[in-house]
Amino acid sequence: MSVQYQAIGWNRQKRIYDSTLAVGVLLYLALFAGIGALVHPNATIETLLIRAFGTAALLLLHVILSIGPLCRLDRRFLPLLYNRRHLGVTMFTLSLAHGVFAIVQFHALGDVNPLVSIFVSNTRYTSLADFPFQSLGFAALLILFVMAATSHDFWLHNLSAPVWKRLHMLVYVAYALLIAHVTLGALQSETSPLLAMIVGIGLATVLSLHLAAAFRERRVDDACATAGRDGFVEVCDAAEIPENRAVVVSVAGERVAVFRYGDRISAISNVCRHQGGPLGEGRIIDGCVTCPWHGYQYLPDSGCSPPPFTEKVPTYRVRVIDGKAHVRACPLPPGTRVEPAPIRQGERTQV
Amino acid sequence: MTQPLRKLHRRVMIVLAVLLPAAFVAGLAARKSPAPANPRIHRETLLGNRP
Repeated sequence: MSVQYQAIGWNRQKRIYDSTLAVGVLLYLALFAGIGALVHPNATIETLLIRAFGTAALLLLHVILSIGPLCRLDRRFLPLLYNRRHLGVTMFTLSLAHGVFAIVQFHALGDVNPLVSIFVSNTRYTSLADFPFQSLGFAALLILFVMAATSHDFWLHNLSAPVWKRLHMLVYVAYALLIAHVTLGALQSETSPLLAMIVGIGLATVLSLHLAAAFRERRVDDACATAGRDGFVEVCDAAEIPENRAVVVSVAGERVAVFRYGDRISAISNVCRHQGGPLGEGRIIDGCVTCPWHGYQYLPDSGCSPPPFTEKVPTYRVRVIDGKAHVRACPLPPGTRVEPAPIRQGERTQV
Repeated sequence: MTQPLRKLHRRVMIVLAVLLPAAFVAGLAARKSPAPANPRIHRETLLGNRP
């Protein structure tokens, strides 16, 4: 959380995250090129680098795509989500290196513009076995470039979180293009079944994780509570809400996080203003609801970020009747303060 | 994420779960068997490393 734009708001966690990433990538490239040179002594260094960068980028893309659903399925993966955009930019850099080396190696020595050559040197677009797979990789690289270029919070803030999220869902198009690029490219000439098995396992892993997380979310959405005549929805026993944590309820098509802190409850939108993170899965730290994704904070009674920050989320009226927490289905404008409802068994309180 | 975005994500994943495995299997099935090596040609000879 930052009140002004910086290239990167470094902190200890980001340094550890990025150092681990850099060491891991360099180790992978060195091992791949070293073992590749031993197994294929006739391969040129350019070929080894093209393969090393390409496989590193594809592996990293699988890791990136698995982090989101893993966090939805198990909170222990949340620390990986914190700096996922750095993984994305690193993956784009590796893809770019792979693309540049491949274009120089295979398309730069003719009398046609290398970028044009990608599309016209082989025009068998109707053949699966001879498909010009480089064009698929180039299209994926363009998408990854747009995503890397707009990965900073500057773009997130100016495009708004929903637009930014939709834009970055293009990663699934890029992933589909890259799977086709590998299947119609490297796998066509690869005689060992190992690479096909690895790609197949990666594909199955990413798809099953996303489907499992998507249908789990759907179950929560489908359990949409209906409001009574007074517009209130019963959530649960107020005493059942863990201290400084929330219970999330689906109300009128959106999710509301009902937090308990001390002997009071408050309700705010479950959607963080930053990237749409699930506020109800965070906890109250220093008196503020803290988003589990990137640590954005909001006061539970007003939905306002503490000064000097300016983010606001909608709030909801709450009440406790006979120990049951109720929330009003209609959201209040972002930042509207609502008096927290005290939890007192057997006593009717309404705010 | 908001509910419309979750719905969009779910639909995208269902489409990908159908299309990608199909494309992957079709691509593997279309592979040509590699041409057998010609035993009379030695790579070293071509490279000039062998008399």
